[in-house]
Amino acid sequence: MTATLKRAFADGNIIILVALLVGASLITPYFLTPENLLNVVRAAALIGIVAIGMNVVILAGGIDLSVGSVVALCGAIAASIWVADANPFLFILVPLLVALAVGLANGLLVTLIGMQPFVATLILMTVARGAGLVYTSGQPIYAPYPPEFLFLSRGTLFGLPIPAVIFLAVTVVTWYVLKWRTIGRAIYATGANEKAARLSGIDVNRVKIATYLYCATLAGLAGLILTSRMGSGEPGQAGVFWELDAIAAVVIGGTSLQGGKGSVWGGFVGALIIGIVSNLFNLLGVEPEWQQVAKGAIILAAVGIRWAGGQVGIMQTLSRPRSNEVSR
Amino acid sequence: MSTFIEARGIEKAFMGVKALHGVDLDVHVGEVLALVGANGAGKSTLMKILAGAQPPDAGTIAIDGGSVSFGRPQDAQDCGISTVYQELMIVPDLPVVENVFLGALKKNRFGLLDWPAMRVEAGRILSTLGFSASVDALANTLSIAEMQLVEIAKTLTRQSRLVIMDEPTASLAKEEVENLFKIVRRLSAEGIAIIFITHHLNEIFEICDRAVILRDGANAGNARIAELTENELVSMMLGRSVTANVDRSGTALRQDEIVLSARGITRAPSLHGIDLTLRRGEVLGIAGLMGAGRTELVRILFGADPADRGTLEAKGRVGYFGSPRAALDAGLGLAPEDRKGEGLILPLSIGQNITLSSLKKHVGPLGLKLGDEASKARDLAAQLQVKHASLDQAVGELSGGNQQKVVLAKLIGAGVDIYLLDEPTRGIDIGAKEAIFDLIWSLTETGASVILISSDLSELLRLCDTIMCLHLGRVTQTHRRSHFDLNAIMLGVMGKEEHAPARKAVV
Repeated sequence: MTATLKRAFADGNIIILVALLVGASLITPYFLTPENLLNVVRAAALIGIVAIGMNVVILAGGIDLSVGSVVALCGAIAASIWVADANPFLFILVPLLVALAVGLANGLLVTLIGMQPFVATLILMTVARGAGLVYTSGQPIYAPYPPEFLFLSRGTLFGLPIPAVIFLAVTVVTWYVLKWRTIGRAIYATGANEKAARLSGIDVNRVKIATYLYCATLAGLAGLILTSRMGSGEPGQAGVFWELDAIAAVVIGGTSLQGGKGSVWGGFVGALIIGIVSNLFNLLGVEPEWQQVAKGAIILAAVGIRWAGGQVGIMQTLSRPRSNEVSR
Repeated sequence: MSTFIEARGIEKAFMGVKALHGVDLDVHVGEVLALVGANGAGKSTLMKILAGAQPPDAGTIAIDGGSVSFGRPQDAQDCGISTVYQELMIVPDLPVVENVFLGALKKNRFGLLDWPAMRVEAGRILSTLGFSASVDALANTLSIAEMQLVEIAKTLTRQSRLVIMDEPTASLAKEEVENLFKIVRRLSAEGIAIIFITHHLNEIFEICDRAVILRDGANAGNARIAELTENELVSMMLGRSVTANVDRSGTALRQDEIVLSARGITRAPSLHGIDLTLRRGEVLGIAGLMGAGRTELVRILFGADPADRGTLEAKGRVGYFGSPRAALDAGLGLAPEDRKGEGLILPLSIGQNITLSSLKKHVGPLGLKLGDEASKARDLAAQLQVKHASLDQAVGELSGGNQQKVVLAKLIGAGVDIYLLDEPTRGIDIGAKEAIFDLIWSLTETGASVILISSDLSELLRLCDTIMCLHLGRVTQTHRRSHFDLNAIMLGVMGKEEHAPARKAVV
């Protein structure tokens, strides 16, 4: 665990996060109040859940542009099923199955057909968004959701909003899988060098499909939470640009888009950073248009800080193993 | 026969390492000259100097008796020297005609590009070369052989008097080679000299008039082909210094149990009906040039590529392996030729690379037992004497020799007992080489078997119980240790079949 912390330091994540927290609280004292911090976490949680899935796909050397559309499609399907049947079991299960189907399609296009992940998931991004609009005739579906479902977005556990609890849980589970399961190691190996991974006995196609399935499932989950929060399924409006926000979070968190380098903390911290900054802008009354511009500036800053760290070498030194452990 | 080019005392060093020590070379008008030598003999360097691509450190070059010096390739071309490199210099997105006149476009009397004239001339030259595609076809739609014809046409439009061809048959089919030979004979009849760089016996003896042999950057022989035997040729290439009499240390194991046998392995275009048998405790060497099909062969054995035909029986199990995983589970392991690109995951740590193929062994009820995995990795790293600061170091930080040890540790950790080692000692220092030799021997003493690919014949002679020569996807010769004959193995590598009659000198 200390090693993980050290590495997080080396990546510059903790430094950026602490700097932001200090800066934000200096700018506006309201920032550090408990209720505002809960707002931050609640806002960051949804993108965060998607970003964790994106992080896994990127670690395995891919990318998934379809997540935003999956968020919208799953939300719309959930709402429609509740309106039609009100079966509490089906309206959670069916959207997640649809998300899995999209993930499977992504995975098969990338592995069996050999498409570039960017292109394959671009196809699914368009198809899934379109399918949601066709399915709902382009209209939002308002559903009188039961309290159990509304709990997904509005409930709390030990004082933490449920979306934040799910975000944390997803992060921890993903951390566990990446570090403690063979598939986790296989994901890193595949992302870093697919040829060598295959020759080392890893079924790289299976690994890639698994990452797309996981990513799509998390996007579906985020879609359910979002639809619970809004009280409606929004096929056109929900999840727009979320794929880019998720990728931004991953990049800010220091996971390499080349694959094979980074950790789940990248997506986690990256989403928090984005959440903090948008919250801060909201507190300061900055217009949404300018927030977009600022997001770009943050990505630039995050990459710049990491680059500077690499130049100076301080951050690497922190993460370097002690060199006196020379084996005989 | 008058002399076209006369090079004397050519020297060249790269970063302090001498590649050529005072080489002499004469090329006569209209002759076909074979430039022959083992890998690293200095052929490519000499060729680049003649082509003006690199300046010599010392020595003189004279053309038609007059001294010249080439500062750049254009200077050599102006003197009538053209080169057809193995990597063809074709612009894929331009049509044939533009490629033919690339760098020497023709203009009409108004100073505009004269496409009609160029198309006519390109078409005329190409048709005499047996080129059937249109001059307007894009170069990327051509076959390798057709691209080569475009390259040759390029040299003809420039009034070349010497065409240097670097392993021109490397990627050609048999009929295409025949066509190339015809072209070479025609050019020679027209008074154009050809330098033919090749490793193939049939090419040297069929097409060439004279051979110049280089060894270790110096002249090792010069003879008219009609007065040369195959044996004399390889003796000049190899010199007398290499002996086959280094004993393989400890071959206590009786090698009679067959662990792997393959019949008729075929995969177009690189392998044509390979048979091989590997016994328990045996080191089977595969000698062959680049493009002989060595890597393709072991990749098929390992299940990394599918075969078109043939049968495999390994460890009592019949059939090709469907994937590297299946081969590893059956006890076959591959150390690929491209260590960094295919053997290792460079960003991962040393420890994680070592256990990558055997991770399943370290799974407990709660997932990976990281401590267990690390101690296994530590043991293997110690057994192979991998020099490292920490197992958590990225494997990319290690030296080549230590990286290769990590690859081998990975195979040992996976419980492999048939090792397929593709150029395991390439680019590593002598100490690490010896360590790997020792490891190969100690593995075979415990009953493992090894298929060893190496370009270094002396290495094969030292290590192997059996050496199989591969040439253009066929087995040409097989030798047992008691009958190792360096010349015969070199001939096999260059394409001489075991029982084919020797080419006799015409006296």
